[in-house]
Amino acid sequence: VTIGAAATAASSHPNIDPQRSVFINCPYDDEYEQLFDALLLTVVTCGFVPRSALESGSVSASRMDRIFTAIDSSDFSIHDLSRCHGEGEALLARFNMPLELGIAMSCRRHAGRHDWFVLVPTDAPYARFVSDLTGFDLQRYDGKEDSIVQNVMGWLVTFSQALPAKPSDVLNRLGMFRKKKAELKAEWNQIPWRHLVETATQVAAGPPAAPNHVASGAL
Amino acid sequence: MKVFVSYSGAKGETGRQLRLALEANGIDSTDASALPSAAREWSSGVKRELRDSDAAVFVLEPGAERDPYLQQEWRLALEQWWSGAEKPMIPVVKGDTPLPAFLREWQAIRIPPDGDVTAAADAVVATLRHAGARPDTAPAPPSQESEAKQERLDQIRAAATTLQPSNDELAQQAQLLAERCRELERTQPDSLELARARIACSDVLKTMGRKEPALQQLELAIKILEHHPDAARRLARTRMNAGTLMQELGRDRDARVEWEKARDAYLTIDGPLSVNAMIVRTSLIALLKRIDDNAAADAEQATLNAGVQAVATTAFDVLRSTVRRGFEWLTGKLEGAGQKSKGGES
Repeated sequence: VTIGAAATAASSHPNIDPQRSVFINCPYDDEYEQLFDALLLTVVTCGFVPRSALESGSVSASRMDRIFTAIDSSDFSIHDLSRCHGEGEALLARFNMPLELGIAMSCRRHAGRHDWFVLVPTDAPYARFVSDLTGFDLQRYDGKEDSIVQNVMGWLVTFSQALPAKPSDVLNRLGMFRKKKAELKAEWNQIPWRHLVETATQVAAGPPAAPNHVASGAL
Repeated sequence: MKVFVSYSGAKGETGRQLRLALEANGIDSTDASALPSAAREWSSGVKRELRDSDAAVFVLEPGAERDPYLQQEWRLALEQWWSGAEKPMIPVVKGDTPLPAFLREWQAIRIPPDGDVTAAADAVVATLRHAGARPDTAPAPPSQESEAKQERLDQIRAAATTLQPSNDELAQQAQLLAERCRELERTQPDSLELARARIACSDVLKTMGRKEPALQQLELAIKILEHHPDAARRLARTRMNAGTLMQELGRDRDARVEWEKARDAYLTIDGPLSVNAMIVRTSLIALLKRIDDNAAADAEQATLNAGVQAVATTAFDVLRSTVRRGFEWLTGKLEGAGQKSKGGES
């Protein structure tokens, strides 16, 4: 029933080709922000429309409906499980990200399409933590922005619908992206997804920053 | 000369035939077929074979990009390429199989759907020995690539405009948030929860173009946040957002007050090199110039310039110290190795 509902909801974005849509499943907090910026700009630089549960705002539809809609209307998804560890005094782990990976895997099995890509930390014993994923090719990375750019881009450019790109195309523009994002932050508490994507396309289309530009980009 | 031949294990006949044809032409070849199947060993085996080869040949057949092993080989080859191992990559394409993006800048050698690989092997050999001798397909010229990129980015930007709630959905969100605010006013009137709900409500109202009520929500949120010292950063950000709305509504003097408070709050939270305070200052300077308080604008500009300079100097110092530590570590290693070597000789 839920998948049927998601399919209906997905039709609300008729202009977006699923073959060029990438659902991003990652933490949306301050601690992850630098990596998120790198991830979003990589997806756009490779010629894909980044999708997220955040794109449709906050409260009018249930969170699960929004996630189903975004995943169901994307042929690709990226899942960063690197932050699925114990947090706080009770050492509780957040399960949203593995749950969304499960939805994406189900999408591939039932809809016959959808490629997913999983990032995990370099040293985590994932074979024990998510033993069901043993045998799958989980991409290990060290939690740094150049590493996430190289890994994600290395996956996206293996598809024919991607734009050719190299990591420096993103890394040399990250400062400019952050500068423009800071301007948006002055305006919005939670920057609307649409504005983030539009800003990323402007930066990806522009020239790479000179080194002194990158420094001022931190503003 | 040795080449790594990457081909789909499931449809491997073309790849295997190509390897035989290359060997017949005196080119040593290798592939991933004999590597151990366990993921880690397989992956390090492919890396080793790629490293030990002078070039990589990619056999592309319909459905190739859905083969996870093949895709992993491509990623490992790219990883080496991006790490500086600039060895030739030669796509050999069967039929009209589309090229993956990373191979589009390489000249592709095409094999008809029912053709044999002999001619392709000859072309690979010619390409290896006399670069570019037998390309069937030239890569797109840079200007064409750049136009294609711009067109795609325009398409993404156009798609992004649909990635927001419809007006009806926004109205529904605003109504739900207003109800939530009313409930919290009754049950938890001074809570952070209420401040957060008002801020969220403000974003929705702003998206709908209703700036006055959006600002009212922010002003109410600020009053609550002022009583929560643990929410100082949120208060500073909310003041910044409120100042932006005030300026848009022509309330320049109120905007100035909010931005000055936001600047001071960030300086207290982050210290004198606060990047957030610099961001606020940038907006403040433009506002001060517009209201003709040039003395204040100049003072802010001077502080901003000094701050930017200090941040750049700090970043340079960190870089210099990292390089020096790396150099000392390397020198220590080399000296240690030298002593070991001398010890071995004695």
